[in-house]
Amino acid sequence: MDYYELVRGPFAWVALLIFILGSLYRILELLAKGKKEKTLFPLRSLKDAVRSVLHGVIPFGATYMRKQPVFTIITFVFHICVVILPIFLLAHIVLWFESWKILWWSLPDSLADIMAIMVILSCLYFFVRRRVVPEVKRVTHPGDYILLLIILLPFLTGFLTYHQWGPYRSMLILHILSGEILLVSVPFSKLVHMLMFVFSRAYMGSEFGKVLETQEW
Amino acid sequence: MTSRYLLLWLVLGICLIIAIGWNDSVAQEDSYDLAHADIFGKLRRASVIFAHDIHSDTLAGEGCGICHHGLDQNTGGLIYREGEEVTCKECHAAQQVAGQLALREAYHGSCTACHRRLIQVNNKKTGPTTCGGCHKKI
Repeated sequence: MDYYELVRGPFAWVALLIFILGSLYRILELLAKGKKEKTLFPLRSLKDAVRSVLHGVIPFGATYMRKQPVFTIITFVFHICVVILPIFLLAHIVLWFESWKILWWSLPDSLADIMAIMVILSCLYFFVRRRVVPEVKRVTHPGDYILLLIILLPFLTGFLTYHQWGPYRSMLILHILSGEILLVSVPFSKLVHMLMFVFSRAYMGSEFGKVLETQEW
Repeated sequence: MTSRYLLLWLVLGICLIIAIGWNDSVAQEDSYDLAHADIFGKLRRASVIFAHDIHSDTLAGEGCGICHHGLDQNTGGLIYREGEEVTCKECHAAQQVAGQLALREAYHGSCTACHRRLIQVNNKKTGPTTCGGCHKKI
């Protein structure tokens, strides 16, 4: 049994299918739930919804971000790296071409290296934050640390694999496996915010829009 | 006396040239360091040590055409012409042009794809399939 072929082939397919079908299920489930809800005066302000989503994706675009600048910078760097790095990494592009004959632009290796380090350091920061900041500590469950580990592992093992530090082949297999665990976890954990943040922010924006424009007296 | 030495050197010289030429025509060097900085520029991965004899021995049953191919002007397909074997970079350039793979993809398509195919048909005698298997950092 060739373990590399196993994680590179069948396991990757299973992880990808669970990720895509699971994500579709979660989105459709949410939309169906929303339809079932009976509200007397449903608020559907597209303008407020879009405004809220935009404020959420622009650095320092929302009040909670302006109140904690360090956290904002780290969390933005982290999210940009987590999404961009795997998609535009040369090694991944080579594999996609090998499997699906698709090819696109790749990040310079030195930049990719820095981005991986950013993700690793951000994960450490989030860990310390969960341990130290009282209001965060209070809402932290053991599962949150596991999720943090699920995100950290593919980036840490990917970094070590690229530099060929440690046992190369085992590290590579662990890297692919941890990436697959991450993909599978997305639809069924807090990581689902990757798909849901648009809906939740749009909903909140739509709800609060009327409050924002209401005179206080 | 001088002419005898001259003749001896001449004969030895001819023998040497024939020996080199003969050797060159029937066998390859043992291994090559595939880097191609002239095409790739600054290398993004470590160069690959390629042993030709291991490949020709292992794939003896499948023939040289499994790696060496050329464009058939009549059909537009790929064919093998004995005696006209060239290296990949003779045709494949840094970037893809009109359906012809870029050199990087041509190498991966030949090397990795073949190594994986051999694994999938349960052939134990195969080459590396991982990035670092070929691109070894020293």
